[in-house]
Amino acid sequence: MSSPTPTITINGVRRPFSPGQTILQVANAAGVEVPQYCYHDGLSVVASCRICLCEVWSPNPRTGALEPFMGGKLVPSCQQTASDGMVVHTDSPKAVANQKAVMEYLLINHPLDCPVCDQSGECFLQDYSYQYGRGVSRFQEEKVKQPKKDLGNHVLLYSDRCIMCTRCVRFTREVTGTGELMVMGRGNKEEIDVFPGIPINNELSGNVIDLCPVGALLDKDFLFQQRVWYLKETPSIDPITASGDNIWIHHNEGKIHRVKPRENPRVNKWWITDEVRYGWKFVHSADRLGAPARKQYGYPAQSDFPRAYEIAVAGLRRAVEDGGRVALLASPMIACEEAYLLAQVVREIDREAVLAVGPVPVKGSDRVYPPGASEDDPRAFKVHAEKAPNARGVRRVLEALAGPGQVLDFEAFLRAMGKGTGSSGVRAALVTGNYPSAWTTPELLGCLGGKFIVAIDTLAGPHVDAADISLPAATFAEKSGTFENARGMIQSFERALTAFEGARPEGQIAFDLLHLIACGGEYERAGATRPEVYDAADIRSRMAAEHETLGVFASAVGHPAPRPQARPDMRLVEI
Amino acid sequence: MAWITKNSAGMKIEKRSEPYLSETLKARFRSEILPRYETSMGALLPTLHAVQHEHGWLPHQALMEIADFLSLTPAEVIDTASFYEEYWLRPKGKRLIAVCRSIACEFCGQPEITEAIKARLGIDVGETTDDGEWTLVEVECLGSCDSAPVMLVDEKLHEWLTPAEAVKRLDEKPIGSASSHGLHG
Repeated sequence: MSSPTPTITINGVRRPFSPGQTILQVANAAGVEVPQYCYHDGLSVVASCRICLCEVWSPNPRTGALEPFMGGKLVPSCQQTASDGMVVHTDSPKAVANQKAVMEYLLINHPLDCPVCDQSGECFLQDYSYQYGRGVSRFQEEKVKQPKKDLGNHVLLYSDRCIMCTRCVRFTREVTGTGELMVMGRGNKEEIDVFPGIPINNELSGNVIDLCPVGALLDKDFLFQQRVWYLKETPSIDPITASGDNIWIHHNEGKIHRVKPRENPRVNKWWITDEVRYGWKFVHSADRLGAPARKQYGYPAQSDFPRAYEIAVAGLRRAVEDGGRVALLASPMIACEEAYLLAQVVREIDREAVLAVGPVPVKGSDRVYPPGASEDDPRAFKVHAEKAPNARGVRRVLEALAGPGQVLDFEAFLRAMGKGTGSSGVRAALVTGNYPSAWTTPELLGCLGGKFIVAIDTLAGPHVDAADISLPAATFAEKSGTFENARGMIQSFERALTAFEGARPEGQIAFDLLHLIACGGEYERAGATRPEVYDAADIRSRMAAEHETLGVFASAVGHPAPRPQARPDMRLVEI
Repeated sequence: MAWITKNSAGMKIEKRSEPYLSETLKARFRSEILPRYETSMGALLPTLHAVQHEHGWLPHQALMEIADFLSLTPAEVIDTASFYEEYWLRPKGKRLIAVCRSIACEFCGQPEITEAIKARLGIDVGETTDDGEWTLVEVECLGSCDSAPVMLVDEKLHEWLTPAEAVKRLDEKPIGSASSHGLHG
């Protein structure tokens, strides 16, 4: 008897499925845990690890009676497509016996070096050994010893920890199409390796480290840096390219230790580029600005926020009083909400303020992996040449305030600044940065001369030194907000770290300035009132309420998917 | 426990200026091998055979040239070549002795045959004589259990051997020039 939606029964519970799904995919989607090493949603199926083998019964098409499928042999659930009426057991004595046998077999040559292994704590072999393995080893012979290998700029291979699932090999052949990795030899001498002298240095090489279910492929950058159980994870968005790749920031005690891809089938699938993976270093740069500064006798002198704010507001106001314009250069590295608030600051002082988007760095051209794939291919991965996360979002917000076509790009901004300080010329500017590296150009420095400049930036640089007031800002990891990627998807990210000491998010600086302006520009007069606290979600709803064109910030923002709560592996004992 | 390391990424392979895949060879592969296969991956095994036949073994440089010729990556080529024991990734002697060590031959006296050949040539299994003439290996079943014990010298199968007989067979003249390159297809 077949129902309209086909179903299979896994461990006694009926699960609907769509035709073409494998048993394992149905189980994974339903949250039924089936151990698996070699299977990965993004890669081809090889069914080589054998731990997902299950006992399957299927109805005889003539009689409808359940009969052992494939003559009662255990079936690799990752490879077997589900068919209506199948009854699958992953916890039957036969299936469990296989799981135990596979675990024992895999552990024969696996070194017992978990205490010094980076994967320890997030290792499939550890987890499954605990859940499906046995506590003791019957193996008394010598283990095979294989070398530790240097495979490339980012990747180390501890060969003797490898369980030969070949996920990494399939990744280099199917996803990047570069094919650097291979299986050398056969049988118990099998090893993953590269061709001698041809390293794995493709743009996506770091992903093989994530793919490795055990501690064989390791990240040179993260090697021996931190035990993974100390790490906290915060969902974030790629902060340095226009891809909008979803990432996890793994951090502890105020320091980022690594960045991992966060699965999103509509954006980055399961992968990120090495550029994004290792692109967070500027957050902990030695050049971070840690205190406001004001120019005295031509040189920057350390100041404090209240004093710097007062001078900033007074300077901006004076420019307007003298008949000039105020400009905002909103960097494409800041969040949409912050651009909105900063634009409000300058428009509060000058209704006709010039709004411009900062320089959008471009490096090379867009690339699609595997080479030759179409961009719309569901398996293709695109690397963006545009190296700014939010050029579109900042423009969208500024245009909502100034009107379409009224927002200048960086070139037009330089021209507008260069027109001189005469009537209706720009006499003061609020310049934001937050780029991962120095970005001052001679043209920028030239056009800032002779004007009142407030620089809000994260890293030191010539234009920050030249500014009348400089305010230390916070990087993407230290605030929340939204970025709009190259495909027009608006995605939110969360705060991972408290802001670098002395620095504040641009959004908070904007609120502080707005508060000060409302108080007449003097802190003394603020009395008991306090500036609002920057909260990206609040500002998004405010943006959507205040401007019809910004309605997308209420309706179309992609938020990080909540992580399914991990099941505790200890039984609760009531005392 | 010794800490074994290998700098795979930074290794230098031996190179010679003259290519292993000469233009004549390539032309021959194009007309004889490639048309028989739908994909270049399919043509890999016979190409490896042919190159090994030509040079006696498969140096890394030859593997890179094959990869280039078939539009594969060098890693894919060495992946395949290292799977089969019959492809030689290190030099071997001009002539190859392959003694079968599978169960039938072992029961019928293979260990003594191996010992006799080792004594005669003064080498161990897996080694090559100093003059570069002989390489001795033990292999799995040669498919001739009914005439065990057997060994293969180049391409000739020697059956129903005794230790003395096995040593005597080494003095036989090699058949043709092709046989001086050991196992091939």
